[in-house]
Amino acid sequence: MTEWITWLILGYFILLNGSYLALNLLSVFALHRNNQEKLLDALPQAFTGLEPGISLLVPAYNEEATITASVRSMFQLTYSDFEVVVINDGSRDNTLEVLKREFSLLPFPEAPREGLATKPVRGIYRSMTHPNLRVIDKENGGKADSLNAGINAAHHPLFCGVDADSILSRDSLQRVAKPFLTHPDTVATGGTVRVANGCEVIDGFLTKVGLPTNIWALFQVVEYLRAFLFGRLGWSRLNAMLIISGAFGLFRTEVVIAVGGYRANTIGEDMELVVRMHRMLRQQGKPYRIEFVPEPVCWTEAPEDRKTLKNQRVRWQRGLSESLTSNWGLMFSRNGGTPGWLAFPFMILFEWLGPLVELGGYLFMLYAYAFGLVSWQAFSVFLFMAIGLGILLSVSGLLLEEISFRMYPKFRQLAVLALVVVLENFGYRQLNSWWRLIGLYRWAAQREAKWGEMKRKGVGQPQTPR
Amino acid sequence: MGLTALLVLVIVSLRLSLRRSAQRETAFIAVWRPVLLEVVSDGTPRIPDALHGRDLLYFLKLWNYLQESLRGPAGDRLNALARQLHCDEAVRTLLRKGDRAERLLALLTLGHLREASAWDELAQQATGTDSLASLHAARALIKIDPLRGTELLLPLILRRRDWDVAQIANFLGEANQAFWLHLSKNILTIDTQHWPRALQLADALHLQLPFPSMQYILTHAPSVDTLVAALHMASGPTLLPAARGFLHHPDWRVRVESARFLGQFGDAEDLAPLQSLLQDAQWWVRYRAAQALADMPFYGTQKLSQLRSQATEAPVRDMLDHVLAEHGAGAAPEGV
Repeated sequence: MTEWITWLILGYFILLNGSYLALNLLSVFALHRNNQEKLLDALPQAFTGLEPGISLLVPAYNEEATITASVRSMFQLTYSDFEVVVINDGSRDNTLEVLKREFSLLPFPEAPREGLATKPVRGIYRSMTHPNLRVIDKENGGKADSLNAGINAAHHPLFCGVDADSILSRDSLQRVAKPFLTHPDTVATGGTVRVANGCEVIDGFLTKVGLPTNIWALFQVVEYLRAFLFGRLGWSRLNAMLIISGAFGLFRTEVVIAVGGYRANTIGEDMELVVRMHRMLRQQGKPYRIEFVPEPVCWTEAPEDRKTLKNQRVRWQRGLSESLTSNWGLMFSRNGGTPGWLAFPFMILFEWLGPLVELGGYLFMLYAYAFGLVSWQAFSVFLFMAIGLGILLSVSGLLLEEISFRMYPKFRQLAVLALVVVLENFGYRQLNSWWRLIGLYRWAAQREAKWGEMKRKGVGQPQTPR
Repeated sequence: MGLTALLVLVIVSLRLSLRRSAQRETAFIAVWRPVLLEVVSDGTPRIPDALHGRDLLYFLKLWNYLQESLRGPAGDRLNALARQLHCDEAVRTLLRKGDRAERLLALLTLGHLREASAWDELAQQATGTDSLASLHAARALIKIDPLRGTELLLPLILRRRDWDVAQIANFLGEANQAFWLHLSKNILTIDTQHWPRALQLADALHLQLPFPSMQYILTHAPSVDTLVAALHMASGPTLLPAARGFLHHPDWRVRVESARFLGQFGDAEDLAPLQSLLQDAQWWVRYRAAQALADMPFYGTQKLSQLRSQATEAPVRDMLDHVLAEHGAGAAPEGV
């Protein structure tokens, strides 16, 4: 029995790390090709008017301190045709008043549109100074509800959900819209999100990339590299990407409306929408593409204390659970293709149930070794699989960054990242699995979903250069 | 562990080689940028004796950047400099033997140089499977000879969906007369499934197709996409009878374009049909119909206000309020 369980655990870790290495390999090819095209990206770009218009949807809840800088930075984005739609989700602070004052908003009698069901809209405002800014004031209903209200009001064929505190690159829209021009059946694209902690931000734009000094944030820098550079990029090559970050994603408006918009009663509304789009479009047999753009287009502030980080990871795991269990129909379905036959089972096995097997594996092996139930050779093999391959994967994430974007140019930064890559495998990853296990338990126990407070230092706060 | 150590070594060596390359490029730019800028501004720079082979790519990157930013005689002067430095021969070699990045650079350069002797190689590249390389080969061909290039490439431009349509419109902008000539001549003989893209490009380049062709397309459109594209670019009252026929088309996108057209070119006869569209189930159709009415010179916002006061249905009233407010002719209701 012990031997059987040992082999099961070892097999699981081999399969887990092997799958990630395979994704890594796919990403190497994609990034290599992407690298070859970089010289064209550096050339001056001209717009022709054939670029599809984009509605930037910015849900805002109690954002009075940051909303002005966020909206102003969005006006600086380089794209031919876009509008900014801020959705004030029943803020209890002065978010709406600040917007009214800063952007000379006036009430506008916008004709109501049939569309997705949302909490009542109290009013729509247009800016007298910025013709491409509108503000929707609605009753509080959460982020998904706000995005649905924004989709109902969107004027353009594409919409981009942006967190109010996201820091965008100036050319972010241009980059994520590109797949819509080269592949007309593209329905959604996502870009790489990076950790903004430690970076210099002036007037809502990132002016200097740096590393945080906080260890929790440093761990997340490496995590984000891994998750985006070989997780999503690898799946994107197979047209099986199941997650587009809620911090920045571009969607075809009519397709999202057709699948019912964001689900308001879920925590991971961003992932749930993408999985549902796969499921429904596959069911309908429609050709479609969901693509990932590897260039860093969005920077977000990562939690810097254990409690906030734990809350975030618990929420993410709950969101993952909800997204997967409400779209079972995709798994092994007749038209499921790579999302249904590969990505969905992968998510179930390694991301959803992963914490259970991983932590169970650690506990079992420690117990079995301590009581002499397994040999030291078997225990060493386990450690190699769990920790050694973990380090290898993290290093390969760093390699992908090095062959592609090299956002951290100093040798010292590289050395710090290399150290973190090793360190995170001794405690942080296991802790993360524990938090995810809590998330899994809370989902299973149907505990009430609470967002918890996200403590922010405000890296995106406007700063005036001295 | 060995593999991990190997990866770390690769990362460090990559970083070192990149640093060396960046330093070299910086030193190159410090010498050559002033030279190129002086060439651009019609000065007489002291040109370094030769361009070292390993600096060729740095030079081409800088040179292409300037070419992409400039128009007119400055581009010709840059071409003369490139030929003086034998870049024309070097890029032909890059095109044949270089890696993908070098080939892309070569394609760009040959286009700017208008290197007619590379025509056959470029034509071959334009039919390749690499989307980006083939698109840039097509661009180079059109730069070299707009008339011959558009004639050769028209079928590919319309057929290849992997070519970024915005980029095509961008480079056709330099050859829009040639494109117009070939498109006008061939629009009715090309496969009708390519009509939407052809019309989309013509619209982006502000080209007008002959009236008989437009009328034929409108009456024989095989798809909604074709109708939408045709109505979107149609102009002039001669197409009015055809456009009127689509006001009640089952697809709302066609109704939207039809209403927009009538707003620009319609006459008194179109008032009643447009007013009826204010009750359309689709928001965008109601919006375009209200806008069309507001835009008609003999109707305008004053009559639209009267229509608003007589309207009994909420969607119609709401839409008229919306459009009147956009035209600055309506006061926003209290509390909205």
